[in-house]
Amino acid sequence: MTRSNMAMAGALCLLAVLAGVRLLGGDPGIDLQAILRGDDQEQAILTHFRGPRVILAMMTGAALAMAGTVSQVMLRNPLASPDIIGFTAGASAAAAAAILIFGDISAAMPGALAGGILAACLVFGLAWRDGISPLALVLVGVALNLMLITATDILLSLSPGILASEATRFLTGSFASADWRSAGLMALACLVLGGVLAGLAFAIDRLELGDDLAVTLGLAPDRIRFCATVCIALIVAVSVAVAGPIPFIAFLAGPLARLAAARPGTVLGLSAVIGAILGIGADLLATLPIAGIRLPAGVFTALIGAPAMLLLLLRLEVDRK
Amino acid sequence: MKGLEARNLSVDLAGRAILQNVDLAIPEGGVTAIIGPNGCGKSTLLRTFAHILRPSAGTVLLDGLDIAQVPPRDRARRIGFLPQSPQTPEGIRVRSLVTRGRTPHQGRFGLLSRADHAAVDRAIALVGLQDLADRRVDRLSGGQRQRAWIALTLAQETSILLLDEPTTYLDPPHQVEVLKLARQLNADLGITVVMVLHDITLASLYADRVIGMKNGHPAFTTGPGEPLQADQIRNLFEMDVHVLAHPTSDRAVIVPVQ
Repeated sequence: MTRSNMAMAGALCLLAVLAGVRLLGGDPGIDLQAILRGDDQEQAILTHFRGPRVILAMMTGAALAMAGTVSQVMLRNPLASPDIIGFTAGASAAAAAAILIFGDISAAMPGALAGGILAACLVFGLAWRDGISPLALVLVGVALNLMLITATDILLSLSPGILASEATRFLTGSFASADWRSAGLMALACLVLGGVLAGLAFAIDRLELGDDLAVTLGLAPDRIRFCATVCIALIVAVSVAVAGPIPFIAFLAGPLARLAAARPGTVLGLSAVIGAILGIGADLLATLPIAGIRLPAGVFTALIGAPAMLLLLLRLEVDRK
Repeated sequence: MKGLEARNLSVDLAGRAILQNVDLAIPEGGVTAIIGPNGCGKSTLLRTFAHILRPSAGTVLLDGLDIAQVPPRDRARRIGFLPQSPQTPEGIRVRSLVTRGRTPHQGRFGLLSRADHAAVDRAIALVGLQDLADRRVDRLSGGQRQRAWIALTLAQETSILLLDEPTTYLDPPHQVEVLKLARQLNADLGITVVMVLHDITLASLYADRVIGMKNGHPAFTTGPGEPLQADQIRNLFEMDVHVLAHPTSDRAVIVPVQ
């Protein structure tokens, strides 16, 4: 059994355990015997609340992970994940703006979709120099990310208290408002857009050799990056729309998968499973009261993600030496 | 004509004309070296032959056909190219790096056929890296790493191989090793090798034909067996040189006048 297969098997087992615990565990847990006896209430908790929430957490995690790893590989930069180069911030800022303007949380979805796509266009447009320079794209993205975060803060501080607090809650990212509609939408996005990315992954892995070599191997780097970026922007937009911004999954899953499989490239399948683990793990932590309070999932991914980012950067420094 | 040909070729980079109305033929077979001062357009010429750069005017012909009309996959099966400083994916191992040379032969999802595996094994053996095939490329020495990259282009199984300064960053024994490999590929497999070189003497010793580029134009082309002349080099580099006879071959050795 190869190292990648072993890593995949291990990750799938871990995912199954976490999904099982999240589905049935907790305090109070689901009483399976009661369901078998035909207890409607227990069954309703499982199918109306926990079921969609588990699906949403897994699908969001997997989709973000695929978007992140593809974007890191095709831009040859571990920092180039959509939550760092402005896509997530664009979707979030527009979603927050929509909530504040229309005074309704349901405006978040179209806002996030429009914002994510707009941010991607902006990053691409500003970084375009007779083709896409990966480094320019990352730098433009990081700058835009900061601008969008600031714009969101300004928006929030200018808004009336109740709406602002509602928007703030949305902006921490959580799977708590899951229903079958949001879970289904995310699953659809994950499968369709993830499928397209899977079709592109072979070519994207070869972009890592540099554009010159990719061209002479018969590939069209700009076209590949364009198609992949459309998928990435859509994944981010849908995920923000259904769960708010869940930071760092996109950033972390790819490097973790490459580490576990000990091979370079997108490692798309394993990244997706690791993303699902991160999603459901964060949601599991979100249901545990810590010092009496329950924190949203997005807080936990940020708690794990920020130090992991530091570690990754330090490791990169060591490797360069 | 079989091989590569530039017809009235002009190439602009960032709005600046690098090559202007170049007519040049590189017939099939043989090892050709392109030399010239920095900024003379030699790398640009090679990259245009590889269809990485698009000409602003004129055409590159591959076996008499406009290269822009050749489908990318077919082109990738005919012309291999090694950039001056290719990017090593982090942690990649020799075998999987070389396997990426099979890209134009593989199907969409990259399944490898028996022929693909055989080509990769052959390429690794040709550059003598059998014992290091499972090593990380970023842990190899400079010379070994360059051989791994050449193996990638060999796995591509093209009849034309373009090398952009393949000896840069290598110490003298490894420079010679790479150039001998280029000669061997030409002699044993009939691959047409075109390389940009910085070192005039190495070009003279290891190439059948030398093209001198100056200000975006080919200043001279030596035919097979014609040694380089002192005034060719003087004009090309605007530097005074002595041309000496190599003690054991009919090639020229070029040294600066003190």
